[in-house]
Amino acid sequence: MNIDLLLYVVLFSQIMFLSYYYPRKMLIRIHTIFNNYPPNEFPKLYPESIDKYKKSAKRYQIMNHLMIGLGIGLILWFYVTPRSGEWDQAIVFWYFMIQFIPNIGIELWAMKYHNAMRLLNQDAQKEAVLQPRRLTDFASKNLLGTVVVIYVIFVGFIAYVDQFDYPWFGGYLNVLIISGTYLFFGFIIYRAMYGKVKNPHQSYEDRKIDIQTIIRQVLSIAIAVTLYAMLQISMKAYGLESFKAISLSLYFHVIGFLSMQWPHLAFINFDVYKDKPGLTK
Amino acid sequence: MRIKIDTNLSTPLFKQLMDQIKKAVMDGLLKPGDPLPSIRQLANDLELNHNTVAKAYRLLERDSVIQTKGYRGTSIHADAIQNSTVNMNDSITTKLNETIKSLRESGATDSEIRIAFSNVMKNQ
Repeated sequence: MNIDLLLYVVLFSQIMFLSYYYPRKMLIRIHTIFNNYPPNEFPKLYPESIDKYKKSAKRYQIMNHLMIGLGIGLILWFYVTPRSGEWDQAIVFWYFMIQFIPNIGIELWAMKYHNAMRLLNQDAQKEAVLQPRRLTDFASKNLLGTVVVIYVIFVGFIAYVDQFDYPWFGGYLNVLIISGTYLFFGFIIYRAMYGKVKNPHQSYEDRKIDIQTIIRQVLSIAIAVTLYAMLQISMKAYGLESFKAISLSLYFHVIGFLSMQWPHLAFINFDVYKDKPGLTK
Repeated sequence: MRIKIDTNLSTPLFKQLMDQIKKAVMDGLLKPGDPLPSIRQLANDLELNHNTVAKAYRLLERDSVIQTKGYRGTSIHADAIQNSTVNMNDSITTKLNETIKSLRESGATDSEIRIAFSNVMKNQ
């Protein structure tokens, strides 16, 4: 199988994985909530009309269909256009950035949804658990240890590669970039653990599950980002640049898989969304 | 251990927090050494201003019901059980009553007492 053909296969897989498989899972989840937890029984779940949410879900579906069309168009363009391949990686990168737009839209929608929930929340009683939250409550020591070990290996790896004086090699700038990325991830974790309550009705147990999901995702992505950075440098050093676009697409598979994990609906306490006093937390 | 505050009550929010923490200590729900959440965590969880929780923590620390040890965070004080029974407001009211009574007996008028009290508070 030649490299171009492999790229088409991997890119097609990325398109279907991130613009068909996961959005379909997300839409099934949304419609299951609409059907099993209707507004008349769970009014607090719908701060605005359900029709508005159905339209948003439809828009998400259409946007993902557009991404599939764009992706298949890209593969066809790759196929018919003679090219050197040096821009393949950049094209795959920018396609992913565009492909992820519907998911950014979903995130923004979630922010607006929670804002509307908070604005409508009339409950004067607020409840909190009098116990500090610690990182180890949400992530195993093994996972945290792995992140630290991978980071140390990365620094050692950069120090090792730095000896060879590759003209293209950025040296310790790589460590700075990865450290900055880790700081950003740290900020996300901090906000998840200690930030403001997004959903005023959510039970504390469900909030803990949400925090755990976010922290595990972020830590796993931190590991993936670091490993991928080492892979990229190694590929360049060994002259395997023609595989960079393929490896990037595979990396996006992993990032997509890690970032699109949600708690199972069966574990969520929906009773808090019923309009009954005393069930608000 | 859960804490609940009601924004509709006339009792100040910091007082509600203090009273519930003291009650939890007296009921044995919080034991000496038990860790407490940070000010930021508790304020965000209860959707309160950070200063409200900070004030409650500061007053509880003054009463030796809780203690803050740098990076280790805040925890229940070793003498919290006996200190939770002391109501600082009652103690202040008693002392002030005694002082005012004694000043009146020595011939000071209420107006003079008020002005003197105000001046002393300003100069503190």
